[in-house]
Amino acid sequence: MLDYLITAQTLPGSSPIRRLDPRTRLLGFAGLLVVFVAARRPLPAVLALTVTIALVALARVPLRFALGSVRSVAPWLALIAAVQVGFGVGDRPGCPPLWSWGPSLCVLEFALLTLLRFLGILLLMGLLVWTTPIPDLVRAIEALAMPLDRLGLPAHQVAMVGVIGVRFLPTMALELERLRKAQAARGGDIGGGTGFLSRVRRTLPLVVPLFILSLRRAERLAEAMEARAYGVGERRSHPLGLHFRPLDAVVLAGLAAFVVGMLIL
Amino acid sequence: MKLRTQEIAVAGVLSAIAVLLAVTRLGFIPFFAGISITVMHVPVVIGAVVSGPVVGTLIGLIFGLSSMILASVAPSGPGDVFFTDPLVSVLPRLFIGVAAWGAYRLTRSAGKRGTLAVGGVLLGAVVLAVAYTVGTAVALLAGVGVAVAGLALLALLLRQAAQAHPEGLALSVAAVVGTLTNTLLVLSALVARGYIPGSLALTVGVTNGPPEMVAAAVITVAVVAAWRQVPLRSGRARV
Repeated sequence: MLDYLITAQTLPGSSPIRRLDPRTRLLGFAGLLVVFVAARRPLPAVLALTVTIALVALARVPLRFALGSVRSVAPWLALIAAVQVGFGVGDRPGCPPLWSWGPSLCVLEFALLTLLRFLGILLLMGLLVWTTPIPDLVRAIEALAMPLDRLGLPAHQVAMVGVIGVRFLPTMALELERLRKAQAARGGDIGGGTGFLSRVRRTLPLVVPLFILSLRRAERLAEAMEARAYGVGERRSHPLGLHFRPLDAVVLAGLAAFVVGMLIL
Repeated sequence: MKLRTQEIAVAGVLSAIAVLLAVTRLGFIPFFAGISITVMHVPVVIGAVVSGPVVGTLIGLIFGLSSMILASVAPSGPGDVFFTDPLVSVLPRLFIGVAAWGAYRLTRSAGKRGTLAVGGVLLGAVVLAVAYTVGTAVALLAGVGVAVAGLALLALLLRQAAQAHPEGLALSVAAVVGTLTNTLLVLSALVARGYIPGSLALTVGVTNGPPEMVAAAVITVAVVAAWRQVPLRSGRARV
């Protein structure tokens, strides 16, 4: 389950999208995300969704994959739309109804916007995760945060937190598995009591050692990092550089123009 | 501003735990009638209490980002769809750490009685204010009923914690305030973005809020007391 979530989400293969610098991909992702989040009418969302679908096609993501992710949320999207129309979310006074009866146009417009927004973000997020391994993403975030570092914000260190989080996820998952077996071997505190508090207490034999082990690990990790002179030098360098090519600049400029246009619209 | 290496390490590892709780469903505790409550924000509270507000905010950031990614990559319910919006999944989570840390420090300096009095009044005020602003008559009555029951349970727990050790009280209050921040801000964001009607948010808030507070308090107290080796009265091994 964990392996699936962490590594296997990135699909193998090459495509024009994948040859772009991870920084370009991340910035493009952020720009389109802003359009979806900030859209107040369906039109910008429709256009952004079109661009996203085009990008998914360019990334040569198998259709089965992209459709699968949409299909798994389709019933919930329908449910959400139904709830929104049913409760009349987004209604404004003086809004004309669709026919002589029924929900007003504002409500329908808002439900459509919500639907488009979620579809767009889903595909967009999928696109990023399918094409970009998490280490690349963290590197991109770190590189993009460099200017903030100069302003005195700990951007580099925040990225380091992300790196440690990603690095320790499988380790802590293994730890959890070990704890499960250890507690089961001891007979654990599994039975007894159906009340709410006893249900909460039942998670303690797993959760408490998990936290204690992780805090202990953090102490050892900090020592190991300092023993290797982490945080002594002015700036850390990387063995692998990122390469920003002319194509990246073109793609970024195009997307930036699109985002600005959509926000004005 | 520069973070110490220790703070970076604690924030990183506790972020991993926050993601793990979400991925393995360990962070969900079955309540009643098929409803689960979540304790996924507990790493944020623990990080804030152990290493300060900056670490709490960082863990909150990664917790928020991970819930956004998980909601879109591996959705597990209709509610998950809303969490693909960063204004719902990321922004509210940035405040959990600061709130929990502030509550922890204040409680430690205020003492038992002061905390119980101020906390009780504040909690009551929050519940009433929320109920008043979004509630219809029926929702209001049901909401206040459930909230009062939840708060009574909470008061009992806080009293127990206070009897065991003053530290226990401060930790419980930190967990309660952190949970309240999470629940209130996420639900407000959902309503403000127009995704769910206010009455639905109120129902979710009053049914899930109090049990989540209790669960978060129990876990936070158990973990931090064990980590700092605070001798709680009820700290005997149960296995």
